[in-house]
Amino acid sequence: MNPGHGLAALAVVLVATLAFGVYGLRLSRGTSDFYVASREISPLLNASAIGGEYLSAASFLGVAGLVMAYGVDMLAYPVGYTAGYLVLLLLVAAPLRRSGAYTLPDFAEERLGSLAVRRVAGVLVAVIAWLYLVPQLQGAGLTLQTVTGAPRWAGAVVVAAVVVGVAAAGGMRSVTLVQGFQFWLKLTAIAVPALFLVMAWRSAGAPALTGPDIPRFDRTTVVTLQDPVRFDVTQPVTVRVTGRLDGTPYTAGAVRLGDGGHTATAGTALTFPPGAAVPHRHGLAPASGARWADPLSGAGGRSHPLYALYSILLATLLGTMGLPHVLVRFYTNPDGRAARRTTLLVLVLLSGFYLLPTVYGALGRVLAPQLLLTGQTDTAVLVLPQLTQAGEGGRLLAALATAGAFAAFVSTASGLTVSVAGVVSQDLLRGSTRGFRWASLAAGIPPLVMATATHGLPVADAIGLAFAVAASSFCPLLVLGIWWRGLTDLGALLGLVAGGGLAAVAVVLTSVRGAGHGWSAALLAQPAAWTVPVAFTVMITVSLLTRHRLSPAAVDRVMLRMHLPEEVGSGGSALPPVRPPTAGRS
Amino acid sequence: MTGLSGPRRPRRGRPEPGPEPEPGPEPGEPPRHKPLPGQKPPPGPAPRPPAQPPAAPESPAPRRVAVSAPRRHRTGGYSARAGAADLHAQPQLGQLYVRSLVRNQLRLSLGVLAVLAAVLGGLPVALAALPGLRTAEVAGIRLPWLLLGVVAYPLLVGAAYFHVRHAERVERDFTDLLGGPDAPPAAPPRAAR
Repeated sequence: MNPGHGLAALAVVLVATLAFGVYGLRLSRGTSDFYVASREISPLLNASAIGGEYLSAASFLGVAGLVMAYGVDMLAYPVGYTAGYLVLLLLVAAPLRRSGAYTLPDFAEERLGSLAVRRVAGVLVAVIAWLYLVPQLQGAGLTLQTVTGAPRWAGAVVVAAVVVGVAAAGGMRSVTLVQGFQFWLKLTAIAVPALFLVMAWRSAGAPALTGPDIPRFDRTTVVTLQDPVRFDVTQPVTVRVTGRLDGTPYTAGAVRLGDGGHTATAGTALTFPPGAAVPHRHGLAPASGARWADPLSGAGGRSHPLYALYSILLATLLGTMGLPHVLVRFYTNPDGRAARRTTLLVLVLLSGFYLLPTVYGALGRVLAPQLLLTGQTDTAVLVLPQLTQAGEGGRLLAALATAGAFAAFVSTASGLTVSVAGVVSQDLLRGSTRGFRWASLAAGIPPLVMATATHGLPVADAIGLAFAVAASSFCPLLVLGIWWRGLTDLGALLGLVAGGGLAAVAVVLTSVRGAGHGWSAALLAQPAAWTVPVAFTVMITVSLLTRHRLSPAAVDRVMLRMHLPEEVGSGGSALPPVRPPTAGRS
Repeated sequence: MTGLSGPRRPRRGRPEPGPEPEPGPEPGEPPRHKPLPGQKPPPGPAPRPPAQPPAAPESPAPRRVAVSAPRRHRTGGYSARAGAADLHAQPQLGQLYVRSLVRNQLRLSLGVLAVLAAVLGGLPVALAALPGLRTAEVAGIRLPWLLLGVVAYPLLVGAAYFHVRHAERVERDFTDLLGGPDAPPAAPPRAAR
C-alpha cells in the first residue's frame, strides 16, 4: 500500500477528531456538560454516536478476517453484536435510563444500596474496558503497519494518545460529536470499496467461492512478510525467495518448498507461481471452498463448532448490555421512551453496516488468498480495496478504508476511555473535572502497555472475550436488578465475583495459551456458555438464601423510578431527585 | 423541575382532562390524598380541594407574573402527575399499580425474547440436524450465508420495532389509567393486551 495515502487518511481522521473535540470543549461548560453532554442530543445523532462507538476494530476488521479464515460460522459475531442491542432494548434500555444511573457502579449502588457491590462493579468495568481496549490498540498497530510498515507499537501509541487527549479535553460532548461523525465515516469506508470489490470479482469472471479446492494463487504473487511467519505447505511448490527462509538467506533464489512446516523472517519476499496452492499460517488448517462455506464444519481447524457458535451468540447477545461505554450513552437520552427509540435506530444503523464485512470475508479468499499465508486476515478490509482498482483509484479506496479503520479504533477507544475515566474519577477522585482528566490518563495507559507487550488473538475473538466477561457479570446484575425485587446485595456481589471472575480467568488462560484443541480449550476460548449460567445461578441462589437483607421499601422506591413512565413519574416530591453523577460522593 | 426526567413530551392520543379553574402552582407538587383503596375515589381531578395553597399569588413580593398557558401542557397533562403523587402518597396502592406495569412490560419483553431465542437458537440445531439445509441455495447464495448474513438483520429490526410500539402502548395505558377521567379502580389493573 502507498504509505503517503495511508498517512494522509490517518491524519484526516485524527485532525477531524481533534477538531470535533475542540469544538466540544468550547461547548462543555460545567461538570454535568462534561459527563453527559447535558442530555440534549438529537436521537439520530445519539444513535449515530452509539453506532460509531460500538463499531470497533472487531466489527470493521475482525469480522471480515474471521469469516475469511473460518467461514460462515463466524457470522454469529455480527448477528450477535446486533441482536445484543435487541436484548438490551427488551430488558434494559428504558428502565436503565429512568433509573438515572450514569454508570454500572451507579446502578449497582442505587439498586442495592451497597458500596461493596459498587466497588466490585467498578473493578469489573475497568477489566472489561481494558480487555476491550487492548484489541483496539492492537488493531491500530496492525493497520499502521499494513499501511506504512511502521512498527506495531506505533499505531497503538498514536491512537491511545489521541483518545486520552480528546477525552481529557472535551469529555462526553466532544465524544458524542466525534462518534456521530465516525459512524458515517466507517459506513462509507466499508461500503464504497465493497461495491468496487464486487465489481472486481465479477470482472474476474466471478470465480466460485464454494469450490472443492483449497485457495490457490490465480497469478504470480509476491508475498512480503511483515512479521516472522511459520507456515505449513501441503502441496510442494517452487518459489523465489528474497530474505531468510528456514534459516537460510536467499537473494531471488528458487527454493522447493516441501510438505510440512517452514519459517520465514520478517521482510522476506516469497514469489509464488500461478496456480500454486496457498500455504497456510501454522495453526490455520487449509479448507476447501466447500468446507469453508459449510456451517459447523470446523473449517480452519476450530474444534467443537456447535458449542462455539452457541457460546458466541450467548456472549454477544447478553454481553452488549454490560459494556460500560454502551451504557453511558443511554444517559444522553432525554427519557426512557427516547432511549427505546434510539435503540431501535441503532439497530437499523448496525444492520446496514453488518451486511458489508461478509463481502470482504468471502471475496478475500479468491482476491487476496496470501492473507491466509501471512495469517493477517484481519487486514482483509484494508488490503482488498486497492486490489480492486489499478492505479490511483485503488490507492484512494485503500486510503478510505484506512480512515474507516482508524475511525473505528478512535471512536471505540474514546468511548471506553471516557467510561473508565468516569468510574475512576467518581470513585477515587471525587468527580471533579480535573480528576476526570487525570482519570482519562489512568484509563488509557494499562491497555496500551498490554497491547504493545502481547501479540494477541484475532481481533474479533479478543473482543468476544470482553463480551463474555460482560455477559457473565453485568448482564445478570442488570436483568435481575431491573426485573426481580428479590435480588440482594450479597447475591449480586457473589454473582459478579463468580461469573466475572470465572470468565476473566478463562480469558487470561486463553490469551496466554493461545487457541488449543479439545473440550477444555473450547470451554476456555468461549466461556460464556457456562459462566453466564453460573453467574445467574449464584445471584439467584444467594439472594434467596439472604432474603432477610432485603428492604422492601427501598426496593419499591427504586422499582418505581425505573419502571414509571416519566410523564407520570417523579412528579411528586416523594421521589428524591437523581443526583448528578458527581454529587453525593464528596 | 428536577433532573430525572428531562424534557417531557406531550402525551398523545388522550384528550386533556376537563377545564382547570386555577392556574395554580406546578401541578402535582403537593401530594394529594386519596381515599383508601376500598373506597370509591372521586371521579377525576375536577373536585380538587380549593384549599390548595396557590404559591405565587400569596407571596407579598411584587413579582412579575407571566400569564400564559399553564406549564402543565408541556408536561403532558395535569392528572397524570397528580396520579403520580398519589402513587407516592399511598405506597400500597402505588405498588400494586407499578407491579402490574412491571409484569406487563416483562411479559412483553420475555415474549419477544422467546421468539428471538427460538429463531436464533434454533438455527444452529436445525443446521446440525438437517445437512440438506447447509448446502441448499437460494438465488445462488448458500442458505446459511443468506440467513446469517442478510435475513437476520431485518428480522431483528422488526422485532425491535414491535417491542418499542407495544412497550409504549403498555405505558400509555398505564398513564391513562392513572390519570384518566375515571379514577383508578382499587384492584390492580391489567393494562396490557
